Amino acid sequence: MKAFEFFEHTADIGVHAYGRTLEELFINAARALYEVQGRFDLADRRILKAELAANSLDELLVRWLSELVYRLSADGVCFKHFRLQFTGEQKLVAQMEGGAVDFGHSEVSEEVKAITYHQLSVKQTADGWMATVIFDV
Amino acid sequence: MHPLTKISDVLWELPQTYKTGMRVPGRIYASEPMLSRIVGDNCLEQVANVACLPGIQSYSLAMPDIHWGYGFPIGGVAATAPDEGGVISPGGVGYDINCGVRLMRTNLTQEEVAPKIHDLVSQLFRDIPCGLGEKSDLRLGRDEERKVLSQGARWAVTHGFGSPEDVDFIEESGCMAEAESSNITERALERGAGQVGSLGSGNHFLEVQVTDEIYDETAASTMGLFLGGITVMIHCGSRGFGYQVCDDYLRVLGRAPEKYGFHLPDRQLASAPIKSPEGQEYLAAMRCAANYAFANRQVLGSKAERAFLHALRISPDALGMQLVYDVPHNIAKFEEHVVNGLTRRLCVHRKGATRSFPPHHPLVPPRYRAIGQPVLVPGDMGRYSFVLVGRQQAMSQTFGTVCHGAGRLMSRSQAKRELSFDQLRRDMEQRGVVMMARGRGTAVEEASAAYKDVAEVVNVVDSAGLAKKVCRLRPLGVVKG
Repeated sequence: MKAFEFFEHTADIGVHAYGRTLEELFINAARALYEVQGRFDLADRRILKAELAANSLDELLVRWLSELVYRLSADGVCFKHFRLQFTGEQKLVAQMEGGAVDFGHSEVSEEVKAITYHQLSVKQTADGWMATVIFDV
Repeated sequence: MHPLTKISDVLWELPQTYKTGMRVPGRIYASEPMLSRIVGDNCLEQVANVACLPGIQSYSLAMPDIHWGYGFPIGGVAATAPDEGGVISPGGVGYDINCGVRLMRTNLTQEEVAPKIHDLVSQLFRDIPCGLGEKSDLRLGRDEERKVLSQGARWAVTHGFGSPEDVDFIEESGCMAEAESSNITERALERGAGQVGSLGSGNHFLEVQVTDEIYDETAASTMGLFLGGITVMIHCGSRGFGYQVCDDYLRVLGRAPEKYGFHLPDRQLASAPIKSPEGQEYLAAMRCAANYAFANRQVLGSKAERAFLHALRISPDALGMQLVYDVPHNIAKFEEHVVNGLTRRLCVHRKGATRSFPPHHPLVPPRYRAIGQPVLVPGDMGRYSFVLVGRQQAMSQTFGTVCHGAGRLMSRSQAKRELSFDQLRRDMEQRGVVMMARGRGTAVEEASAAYKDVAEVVNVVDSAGLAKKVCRLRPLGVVKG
C-alpha cells in the first residue's frame, strides 16, 4: 500500500494519504506534509504530546496536520516518530518525537502554511483508509 | 461548450440558473483565448459557489487572473450587504490576510545599477530573511506585537523603518481601524512574534526592476517613474500570523451557517453574518492581520532601502527611494458603492484582487487624485509587472476592483516535473535577471513558464475600462524564499 501520493492543484499541493488503520493514515498524512517541505536534520531531540478534538474525522485530520504546521512555523520543530491513539469518535492523543530543525544543514523546499478544508475527505476503503487534503503553500 | 454568455469581448456571464442556490449571476473578465483555460480549471464552480453567499450584491465577480483557489477562486470579488443578512467569509479573504504589493521608486537608472546588480541582489538576499525557517531579526514581545496589530505601518515608522509620509501612500493609510487584538489566539501571536520584516516563501518576492515601457507619461511622472528608472517591488503578506488567524476563524465560522440557517456548497466558504458576534470577531481579527502585513511590508521596504545604500555606497538623497504605493490584494473592507442607483455601504471581499479607485475618489491620496489610485500587478519573475491606475468603470462594474497578478498556468507539481533549477537559472541569466532563492523547488515552481503572461491579464482590465496601463517594469534582480 502506498503511504501517500500528490495530485495536481493549480496553486497549491493536493495529497491522497492511505493507511491500513486510522493511526497509519494520520501518520502517513504527516509524512506527506514534511515531504513537501524538505528533508530536515534535527539539532536536538524533543518529545511532545498533543490532545486534539474536532466535530468530525476529516476535521480532526486538519487539526492534526495544523498542529504540525504550527509547531514548525512557531518553534521550528519537526517530528519524525509518532504514537497516536484515538480516544473517541473525534479525539486524538498524539505523542510526537522529533526536534528543532537545523535549517543550516537541511534541504529546505517550500513551506506549508495551512491545511485547507477544500475537497477534504477521510474515507474507509477496502484496504483501510484514504484521506484527501490540500496544503496551502 | 461552456455555460458562459458573452457580454462583450472581455466580459462573460455565468447565469444564475447554472447552479441551485446562486443568488446572483457570475461575471468573469477574460478574453476569448483565456476562456478555455478558465473553463478547464475548477474555478467556474467556485464563482457559482460564491454567488450563493447570503447578501451578495449584483454579481459574483472574477478577474482575468482567475484560477482555482479554495472557497473563493483566486481573482474572486464579492460585495455583501450587512443590512440584507450579508456575510463575511474568511475564504473570501484568504489565508494570507492582506497579502499585497509595494512599489518603491528611486533616482537610479539601469546604467548605474546594472554593473553592480550581483552585489545589490546579494546584499538584499543577506538582509531580507526569506524562505522556510528564516526568522526576522525583530523578535517582538507580546505588548509590542499587539501594537503592530493596532498600529500597522505606523508602528514600523515609529521604530525607524521608513518615513512618516510613507503612510499617505499605503491603502487605508497602512492601518485598518477597529482591529481588536483581544480576538487573537496565543498561537497566532506566537507564529507572528518573529516574522515582522521577513519575506516568507511561495510566490512572495522582492524584485529590483527597471521601467522599460511607459503608456501614460503624466501618470508615470506623477508617481516618480521614468523610462530606464530603477524600482523595487515587494510581494508579501501577514506571514504565519495571518494564516493562523484565518485557520482559527475558519473553525469558528465553520459552525455559523448551521447556526444562522443558511447552506453553503463548500466548507471552505465558511461565513457568518456581518452583524453576528462571530462575523464581528473575525473582522476585528482580520484587521489585526491586515495591520501586521502593512507593518511587515513597511519594514521590508526600509530594509531594502538600507541594502541599496550599503551595496551601492550612495547617499539617501542620491538613491531617492520613495514609496509609490502599497496595495492589499487579499482583504475584505467596508466601502460605499452604488447598487441599483442607491449608495450603499458594502463589505467588499477581494481574494487575489486589487482595489482600483478612479481619479477624484476621496480615498485616493491627494498626489494621485487627478490620475487615479495606483494599481500594482506583478507578473512572473522572468518577464514583467505592470503599474495601472483605477478608472471610473471599475466603480460601476466591479466594486472598484481589478486583477492582482498573472495567475498560474501550471500546477506546482507540473512545474517541478517539467522544469529544473539549472534550466531556470540559465533562463533567468539569458533574460538578464539575477535570481537568488532559498528553496530550489519553490523557485522552479515560480518560473515564468508556470505563469500566464500578465500582459494578457492587464490588457483585459484595460480594455474593460476598469484600469488604465501606466508603465511596465522588467526585473533585473529577484530575491525569493
